[in-house]
Amino acid sequence: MVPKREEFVLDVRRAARVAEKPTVIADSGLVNPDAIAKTIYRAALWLTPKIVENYYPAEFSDLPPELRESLTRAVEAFRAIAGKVPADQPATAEQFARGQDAFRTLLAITRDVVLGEWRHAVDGLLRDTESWAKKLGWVTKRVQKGLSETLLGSYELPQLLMHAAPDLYVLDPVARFVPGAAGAFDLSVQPSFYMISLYRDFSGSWYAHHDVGQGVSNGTRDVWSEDMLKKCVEELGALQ
Amino acid sequence: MIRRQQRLLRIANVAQEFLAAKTAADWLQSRQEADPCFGNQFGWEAKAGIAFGENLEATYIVRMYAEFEAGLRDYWKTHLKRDTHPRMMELVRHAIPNQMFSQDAIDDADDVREYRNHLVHDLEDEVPEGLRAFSVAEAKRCLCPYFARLDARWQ
Repeated sequence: MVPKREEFVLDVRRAARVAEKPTVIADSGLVNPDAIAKTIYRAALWLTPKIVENYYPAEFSDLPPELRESLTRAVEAFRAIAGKVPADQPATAEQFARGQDAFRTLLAITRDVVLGEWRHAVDGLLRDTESWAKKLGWVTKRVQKGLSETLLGSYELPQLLMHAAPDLYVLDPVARFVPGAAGAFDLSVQPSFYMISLYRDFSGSWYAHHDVGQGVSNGTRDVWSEDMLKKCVEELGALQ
Repeated sequence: MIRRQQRLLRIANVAQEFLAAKTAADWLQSRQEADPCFGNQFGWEAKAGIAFGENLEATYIVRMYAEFEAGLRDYWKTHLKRDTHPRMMELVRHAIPNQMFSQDAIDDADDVREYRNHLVHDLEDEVPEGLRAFSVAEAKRCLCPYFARLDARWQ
């Protein structure tokens, strides 16, 4: 089950995706792509209080007080404007402009909240994995990787390279937003197509997901640990 | 070559074919501009030549999506060993993706699916509110990352 906190974040993410100005390609010279894009853009499908209906301040009690208060203010400001737009009519130009400002603020603060906790979680995963790798006698190195996601925009996270002779393994960030989890990494052996998925559940624990070829519900899930790291590396090495 | 890569190449090949077809369409347009009756000697009327150019991108998006759909259904049947025939919306959004897929990769592929459905069913209509339109190159950029997350052990 998705926690309320994550439901709110996913609602804001979905709205951010809708709000992105769509690309309109017209084959016919009779159709003006700019006009269509403007119409879609101004339709403001995101300007609805439904986006913030899953916001409960208590769900964010772990945040620093200043950030929590900023988020609450942004939600309330957005709700006040979006609540005045009739469900069966388009927003007025003034509502659209004010709604856009409030929405941008909401996106920026939600991004800060999500990206902050995601970076913290990633750092924890990599520090644990690095320490286990070193105990196993493997050489490790971090390399920055650029990612881009709806809501989070462009950002960087470290990849972890592990040399477990004779092979090189890479723990590679995939995304914060993945189905049914709060972030995922690939663990792969280089050079090959084979990989094992690591994902973070909504309580913040990391798991290795084996047998992913058998479908979402049939994979084997194991808590990420030193033993699991060793087991995954052995499994991937055997596929080489 | 692994099966996933074979399927990816088929999608990429459609994008290449489109570029060749676009070159041909541009050449044809220039011939028609010089001689509006150019097609008569080959049995087609001027409006068919115009429609050919106008519908080219849509035609190749539909073809590219057909490769994507065929690939996913092959994966569903031969790798996941399922004998059901879910709707593509269900396959793309829920049945095939797991935590190895970024939500953006799923959403992008699903947007192409919706646009392709619009092209097939409502070719004469404007793109409706909230529907994202695609060029062939953009559709490729959205479908291939989805496909690249399928299990490499698919044989």
